[in-house]
Amino acid sequence: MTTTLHLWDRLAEAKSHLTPVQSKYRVLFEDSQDEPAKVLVPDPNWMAAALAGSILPPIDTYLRDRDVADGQPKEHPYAEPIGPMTEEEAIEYLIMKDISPAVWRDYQGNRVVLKITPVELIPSDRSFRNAWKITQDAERIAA
Amino acid sequence: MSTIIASNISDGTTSVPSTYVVNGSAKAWVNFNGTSTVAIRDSLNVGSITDVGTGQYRVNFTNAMPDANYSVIATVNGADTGTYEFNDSRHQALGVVLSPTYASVSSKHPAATAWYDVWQMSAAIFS
Repeated sequence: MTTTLHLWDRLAEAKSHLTPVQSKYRVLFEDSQDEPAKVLVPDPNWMAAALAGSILPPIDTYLRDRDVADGQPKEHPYAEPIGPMTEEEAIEYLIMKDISPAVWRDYQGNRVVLKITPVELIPSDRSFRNAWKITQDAERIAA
Repeated sequence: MSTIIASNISDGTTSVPSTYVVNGSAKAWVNFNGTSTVAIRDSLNVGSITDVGTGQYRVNFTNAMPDANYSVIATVNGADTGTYEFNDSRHQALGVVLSPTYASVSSKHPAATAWYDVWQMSAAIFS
Protein backbone atom coordinates (compact mmCIF):
# COMPACT_ATOMS: atom_id res chain seq x y z
CA MET A 1 0.00 0.00 0.00
CA THR A 2 1.41 3.41 -0.93
CA THR A 3 0.58 6.64 0.80
CA THR A 4 0.48 9.91 -1.11
CA LEU A 5 3.07 12.31 0.23
CA HIS A 6 1.94 15.70 1.42
CA LEU A 7 2.19 18.35 -1.33
CA TRP A 8 4.86 20.27 0.59
CA ASP A 9 7.01 17.12 0.77
CA ARG A 10 6.52 16.49 -2.96
CA LEU A 11 7.59 20.06 -3.75
CA ALA A 12 10.68 19.80 -1.54
CA GLU A 13 11.69 16.50 -3.12
CA ALA A 14 11.07 17.82 -6.65
CA LYS A 15 13.26 20.84 -5.98
CA SER A 16 16.12 18.54 -5.06
CA HIS A 17 16.28 16.91 -8.48
CA LEU A 18 14.30 18.90 -11.09
CA THR A 19 15.95 21.61 -13.18
CA PRO A 20 13.96 24.88 -12.96
CA VAL A 21 12.18 25.94 -16.16
CA GLN A 22 11.78 29.66 -16.88
CA SER A 23 8.50 30.07 -18.71
CA LYS A 24 8.35 31.79 -22.07
CA TYR A 25 5.01 33.33 -21.10
CA ARG A 26 3.50 35.87 -18.76
CA VAL A 27 -0.18 36.46 -18.00
CA LEU A 28 -1.48 40.03 -18.13
CA PHE A 29 -4.72 40.67 -16.33
CA GLU A 30 -6.87 43.47 -14.98
CA ASP A 31 -9.00 42.80 -11.92
CA SER A 32 -9.82 46.43 -11.17
CA GLN A 33 -10.53 49.39 -13.40
CA ASP A 34 -8.77 51.65 -10.91
CA GLU A 35 -5.51 49.72 -10.80
CA PRO A 36 -2.78 49.05 -13.36
CA ALA A 37 -2.65 45.77 -15.25
CA LYS A 38 -1.04 43.00 -13.22
CA VAL A 39 1.48 40.49 -14.55
CA LEU A 40 1.52 36.87 -13.38
CA VAL A 41 5.04 35.43 -13.42
CA PRO A 42 5.25 31.61 -13.29
CA ASP A 43 7.78 30.19 -10.85
CA PRO A 44 10.55 28.14 -12.53
CA ASN A 45 10.50 25.40 -9.87
CA TRP A 46 6.72 25.18 -10.06
CA MET A 47 6.88 25.01 -13.87
CA ALA A 48 9.42 22.17 -13.66
CA ALA A 49 7.07 20.31 -11.33
CA ALA A 50 4.12 20.89 -13.66
CA LEU A 51 6.03 19.58 -16.69
CA ALA A 52 7.36 16.57 -14.77
CA GLY A 53 3.99 15.45 -13.41
CA SER A 54 3.07 13.43 -10.30
CA ILE A 55 3.65 16.44 -8.02
CA LEU A 56 0.84 18.99 -8.32
CA PRO A 57 -2.76 18.30 -7.25
CA PRO A 58 -5.77 18.65 -9.58
CA ILE A 59 -6.80 22.27 -10.09
CA ASP A 60 -10.31 21.38 -8.92
CA THR A 61 -8.99 20.93 -5.39
CA TYR A 62 -7.71 24.52 -5.28
CA LEU A 63 -11.05 25.81 -6.55
CA ARG A 64 -12.96 23.86 -3.88
CA ASP A 65 -10.52 25.01 -1.19
CA ARG A 66 -11.45 28.64 -1.90
CA ASP A 67 -14.67 27.92 -0.01
CA VAL A 68 -12.96 26.32 2.98
CA ALA A 69 -12.69 28.56 6.03
CA ASP A 70 -9.26 29.55 7.34
CA GLY A 71 -7.87 27.05 9.81
CA GLN A 72 -9.95 24.20 8.41
CA PRO A 73 -8.28 21.29 6.57
CA LYS A 74 -7.72 21.94 2.88
CA GLU A 75 -8.05 19.31 0.18
CA HIS A 76 -5.21 20.20 -2.20
CA PRO A 77 -2.21 19.22 -0.01
CA TYR A 78 -3.45 15.63 0.26
CA ALA A 79 -4.95 15.08 -3.20
CA GLU A 80 -3.53 12.49 -5.55
CA PRO A 81 -1.13 14.29 -7.91
CA ILE A 82 -1.89 14.66 -11.61
CA GLY A 83 0.29 13.74 -14.57
CA PRO A 84 2.61 15.95 -16.63
CA MET A 85 1.28 19.09 -18.32
CA THR A 86 2.44 21.01 -21.34
CA GLU A 87 3.63 24.56 -20.68
CA GLU A 88 0.39 25.92 -22.13
CA GLU A 89 -1.68 23.69 -19.84
CA ALA A 90 0.46 24.73 -16.88
CA ILE A 91 -0.18 28.41 -17.61
CA GLU A 92 -3.93 27.78 -17.74
CA TYR A 93 -3.67 25.91 -14.43
CA LEU A 94 -1.84 28.87 -12.87
CA ILE A 95 -4.46 31.30 -14.14
CA MET A 96 -7.19 29.31 -12.43
CA LYS A 97 -5.14 28.93 -9.24
CA ASP A 98 -3.69 32.42 -8.80
CA ILE A 99 -6.11 34.79 -10.55
CA SER A 100 -9.61 35.52 -9.32
CA PRO A 101 -12.44 33.71 -11.15
CA ALA A 102 -13.96 37.18 -11.56
CA VAL A 103 -11.34 37.70 -14.26
CA TRP A 104 -11.06 34.34 -16.05
CA ARG A 105 -14.56 32.90 -15.55
CA ASP A 106 -17.17 35.48 -14.58
CA TYR A 107 -16.20 38.61 -16.50
CA GLN A 108 -18.76 39.37 -19.22
CA GLY A 109 -17.67 42.80 -20.45
CA ASN A 110 -16.24 43.59 -23.87
CA ARG A 111 -12.87 44.76 -22.63
CA VAL A 112 -9.99 42.30 -22.83
CA VAL A 113 -8.96 41.74 -19.21
CA LEU A 114 -6.70 38.69 -19.53
CA LYS A 115 -3.98 37.88 -22.03
CA ILE A 116 -1.27 35.23 -22.21
CA THR A 117 1.71 36.82 -23.89
CA PRO A 118 5.34 35.94 -24.70
CA VAL A 119 7.68 37.34 -22.07
CA GLU A 120 9.60 39.43 -24.61
CA LEU A 121 6.46 41.49 -25.29
CA ILE A 122 6.22 42.65 -21.67
CA PRO A 123 7.82 46.13 -21.44
CA SER A 124 11.13 46.05 -19.60
CA ASP A 125 10.99 49.81 -19.02
CA ARG A 126 8.94 50.23 -15.84
CA SER A 127 9.08 54.03 -15.68
CA PHE A 128 5.33 54.20 -16.11
CA ARG A 129 4.48 50.82 -14.57
CA ASN A 130 1.45 52.13 -12.69
CA ALA A 131 -0.12 53.28 -15.95
CA TRP A 132 -0.01 49.89 -17.65
CA LYS A 133 -3.25 48.66 -19.18
CA ILE A 134 -3.87 45.81 -21.57
CA THR A 135 -4.03 47.22 -25.06
CA GLN A 136 -7.38 46.68 -26.73
CA ASP A 137 -5.79 46.91 -30.17
CA ALA A 138 -6.22 43.53 -31.87
CA GLU A 139 -3.05 44.11 -33.87
CA ARG A 140 -0.93 44.36 -30.76
CA ILE A 141 -0.79 41.87 -27.94
CA ALA A 142 1.46 43.44 -25.32
CA ALA A 143 0.69 45.80 -22.46
CA MET B 1 11.70 9.05 -0.24
CA SER B 2 12.03 7.83 3.33
CA THR B 3 10.45 9.37 6.41
CA ILE B 4 12.12 9.56 9.80
CA ILE B 5 9.61 9.69 12.63
CA ALA B 6 11.08 11.00 15.85
CA SER B 7 9.83 13.05 18.77
CA ASN B 8 13.23 14.48 19.65
CA ILE B 9 16.52 15.28 17.94
CA SER B 10 19.73 15.07 19.92
CA ASP B 11 23.44 15.75 19.33
CA GLY B 12 24.37 13.45 22.21
CA THR B 13 24.11 16.02 24.98
CA THR B 14 21.33 18.41 24.06
CA SER B 15 17.90 17.30 22.89
CA VAL B 16 15.11 19.34 21.29
CA PRO B 17 11.63 18.29 20.19
CA SER B 18 11.46 17.67 16.43
CA THR B 19 8.53 20.11 16.33
CA TYR B 20 11.12 22.88 16.74
CA VAL B 21 12.63 21.87 13.43
CA VAL B 22 9.30 21.46 11.65
CA ASN B 23 7.75 24.65 12.98
CA GLY B 24 10.97 26.60 12.66
CA SER B 25 11.52 25.85 8.98
CA ALA B 26 10.42 28.29 6.31
CA LYS B 27 7.21 27.01 4.71
CA ALA B 28 7.88 29.05 1.59
CA TRP B 29 10.57 31.38 0.32
CA VAL B 30 11.35 33.29 -2.84
CA ASN B 31 14.03 35.50 -4.33
CA PHE B 32 13.06 37.54 -7.39
CA ASN B 33 14.05 40.46 -9.57
CA GLY B 34 11.50 43.25 -9.26
CA THR B 35 12.97 45.45 -11.97
CA SER B 36 12.99 45.29 -15.76
CA THR B 37 11.20 42.07 -16.74
CA VAL B 38 10.20 40.68 -13.36
CA ALA B 39 11.44 37.10 -12.88
CA ILE B 40 11.87 34.59 -10.07
CA ARG B 41 15.44 33.48 -9.34
CA ASP B 42 14.69 30.66 -6.93
CA SER B 43 12.01 29.60 -4.49
CA LEU B 44 10.29 26.86 -2.54
CA ASN B 45 6.52 26.32 -2.40
CA VAL B 46 5.78 29.24 -4.71
CA GLY B 47 3.57 28.83 -7.79
CA SER B 48 3.98 32.33 -9.15
CA ILE B 49 4.41 35.94 -8.24
CA THR B 50 2.11 38.72 -9.36
CA ASP B 51 3.67 42.00 -10.42
CA VAL B 52 0.98 44.29 -9.03
CA GLY B 53 2.59 47.64 -9.79
CA THR B 54 5.72 49.62 -9.04
CA GLY B 55 7.42 48.06 -6.01
CA GLN B 56 4.42 45.89 -5.19
CA TYR B 57 4.39 42.14 -5.60
CA ARG B 58 2.27 39.19 -4.52
CA VAL B 59 3.79 35.79 -3.72
CA ASN B 60 1.32 33.00 -4.56
CA PHE B 61 1.84 29.73 -2.67
CA THR B 62 1.55 26.25 -4.12
CA ASN B 63 0.74 24.67 -0.77
CA ALA B 64 -1.47 27.20 1.00
CA MET B 65 -0.87 28.21 4.60
CA PRO B 66 -3.44 26.99 7.15
CA ASP B 67 -4.54 30.56 7.88
CA ALA B 68 -3.32 34.14 7.58
CA ASN B 69 -1.60 34.16 10.98
CA TYR B 70 1.87 33.45 9.65
CA SER B 71 5.02 35.53 9.60
CA VAL B 72 6.75 37.06 6.58
CA ILE B 73 10.38 38.11 6.69
CA ALA B 74 11.24 40.17 3.62
CA THR B 75 14.40 41.97 2.58
CA VAL B 76 15.23 44.11 -0.42
CA ASN B 77 18.35 44.94 -2.31
CA GLY B 78 18.06 48.04 -4.46
CA ALA B 79 20.13 48.80 -7.51
CA ASP B 80 20.62 51.44 -10.10
CA THR B 81 18.04 50.46 -12.67
CA GLY B 82 18.92 53.28 -14.99
CA THR B 83 15.80 55.07 -13.90
CA TYR B 84 16.10 55.23 -10.13
CA GLU B 85 19.12 55.08 -7.87
CA PHE B 86 18.70 53.45 -4.52
CA ASN B 87 20.65 53.59 -1.34
CA ASP B 88 20.42 49.93 -0.35
CA SER B 89 20.66 50.51 3.37
CA ARG B 90 17.72 52.90 3.37
CA HIS B 91 15.27 50.68 1.56
CA GLN B 92 12.69 48.75 3.45
CA ALA B 93 10.42 45.85 2.61
CA LEU B 94 6.89 45.94 3.88
CA GLY B 95 4.39 43.11 4.06
CA VAL B 96 0.99 44.57 3.33
CA VAL B 97 -1.57 41.78 3.07
CA LEU B 98 -1.41 38.21 4.32
CA SER B 99 -3.77 35.56 2.99
CA PRO B 100 -3.58 31.76 3.26
CA THR B 101 -2.91 31.58 -0.49
CA TYR B 102 -0.61 34.57 -1.01
CA ALA B 103 1.49 37.21 0.73
CA SER B 104 1.84 40.73 -0.61
CA VAL B 105 5.26 42.31 -0.23
CA SER B 106 6.22 45.82 -1.19
CA SER B 107 9.31 48.00 -1.27
CA LYS B 108 9.38 51.60 -0.19
CA HIS B 109 12.11 54.18 0.21
CA PRO B 110 11.82 55.76 3.68
CA ALA B 111 12.38 59.22 2.24
CA ALA B 112 9.56 58.90 -0.26
CA THR B 113 5.88 58.08 -0.16
CA ALA B 114 5.98 56.04 -3.35
CA TRP B 115 6.74 52.37 -3.84
CA TYR B 116 9.98 51.55 -5.64
CA ASP B 117 11.05 48.60 -7.75
CA VAL B 118 14.02 46.68 -6.39
CA TRP B 119 16.59 44.50 -8.06
CA GLN B 120 16.22 41.81 -5.44
CA MET B 121 13.29 41.05 -3.16
CA SER B 122 13.54 38.07 -0.82
CA ALA B 123 10.72 36.78 1.33
CA ALA B 124 10.50 33.82 3.72
CA ILE B 125 7.28 32.60 5.29
CA PHE B 126 7.14 30.88 8.68
CA SER B 127 3.98 29.24 9.90
